[in-house]
Amino acid sequence: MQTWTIDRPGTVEIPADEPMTRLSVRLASGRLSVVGTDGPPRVEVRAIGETAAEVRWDRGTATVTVEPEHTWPGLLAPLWWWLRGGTKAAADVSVAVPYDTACTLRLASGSLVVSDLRAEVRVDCASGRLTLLGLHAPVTGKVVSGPIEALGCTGALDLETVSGEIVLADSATARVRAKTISGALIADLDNPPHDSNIDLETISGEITIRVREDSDLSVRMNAVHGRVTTDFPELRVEPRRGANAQGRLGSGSGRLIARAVGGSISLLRRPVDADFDAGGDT
Amino acid sequence: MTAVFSHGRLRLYLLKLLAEGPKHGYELIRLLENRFLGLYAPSAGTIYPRLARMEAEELVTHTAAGGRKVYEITDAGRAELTARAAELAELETEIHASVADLSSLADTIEAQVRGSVRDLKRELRDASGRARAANRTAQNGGYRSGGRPAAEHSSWRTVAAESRADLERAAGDLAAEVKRLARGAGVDEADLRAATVVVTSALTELRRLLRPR
Repeated sequence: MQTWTIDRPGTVEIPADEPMTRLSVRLASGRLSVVGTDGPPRVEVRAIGETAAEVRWDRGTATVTVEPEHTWPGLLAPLWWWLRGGTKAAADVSVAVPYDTACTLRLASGSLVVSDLRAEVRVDCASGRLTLLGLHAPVTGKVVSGPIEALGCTGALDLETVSGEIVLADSATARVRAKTISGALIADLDNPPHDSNIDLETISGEITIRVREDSDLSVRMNAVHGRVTTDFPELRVEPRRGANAQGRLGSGSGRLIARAVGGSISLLRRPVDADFDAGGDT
Repeated sequence: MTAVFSHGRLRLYLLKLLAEGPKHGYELIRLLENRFLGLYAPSAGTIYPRLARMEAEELVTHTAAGGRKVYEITDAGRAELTARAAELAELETEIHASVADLSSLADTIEAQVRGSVRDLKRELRDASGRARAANRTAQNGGYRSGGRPAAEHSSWRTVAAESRADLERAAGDLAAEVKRLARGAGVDEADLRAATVVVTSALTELRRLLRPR
């Protein structure tokens, strides 16, 4: 086991004695970015507050921690964060890892960027913005307050936020579960036509979904107080508030469920160039 | 990203990927994405026309296997790749340089994703607006209103719409079934070719049947 302490901007190269398989980061506040590369793994600190970053390397697992040792006790802790957190515990940390590194990331407040990985990613963030790009393995993301934006992710997605919105752009994934309480949910899915499983839920936000026009999906959409609209003619939709819509697209082998309590739902079709990317569903 | 990957360079990189072996379009898109840290996620709409042009210049050829185009590099393509080897090396250095500064890379990623998300939101908002308007028109015209029967004209339209939906559903079932069958075990190439002929002739028949009078 090796450890390093970083108390001013700088870089730590992880030794190549063993391939890196896991990364775990706990950051109190600031910015964290994790990027898959084919270069050597390394931890880069661009800015750091009074709390130094600890890097630990042990049998293929790297752990990076920037957390103050003690704050004020009990109920005063949030006050400490509010008054001191920004100066004492903030950091701007970037980690370059091999593509196949499984990552567990925790950030109390700030912004988080994860890009280009082929192993499982788990993200937990209390308050902040989560940006996911080009992840090709299962992703679990939870944010309490703040948006989640994902582009070009192909693994199973399980995303949850309380007060932010969730946007999935250009996502060729077969499994999506996304839930918000008050934010909008926008999903543009280049989903494989067969056996996709899409489950979207919001309490007071709106849902907008676009799926391939050649999708095979059993569709169930329920807007308790909002409207349901769709441009798939094969779905029956009652054009009034409080609508339910059910139906089948194609052979109906997959499943699409969308529930909204306060907002409306719209399901749109994504044109497909069948000649060109016919390989997407294999 | 656009700076990293101007038009001539995308063509060069496509040639490089094809020089590593024949690939189909979807594979090319995924590979490009991986090479560029997931930063460059070209859509089929970007790649396809470019490949078509390269094919016209005889740098690549394609073979269609079961409706799936597999692209291959030609000797002329290889010659261009050799001639531009220096440029290719330079391109690779730039790609690695952009990985060298992780922090500004993160900025770039954030900006890129935010931009794409903004475009997507606008596009989908417009599309749902159109869908809503279409639903409303349909409702006023008695189309799938489910309420009182309107004039004779609109009830005819309801029937026509339902028949159309039935036809589309049947066509959807057909497509799904064909895909499933074609993927089954023990199907050889001759079977697939014969099946393709059957589907094509069915399509010709349908065109004849449904052509506007």
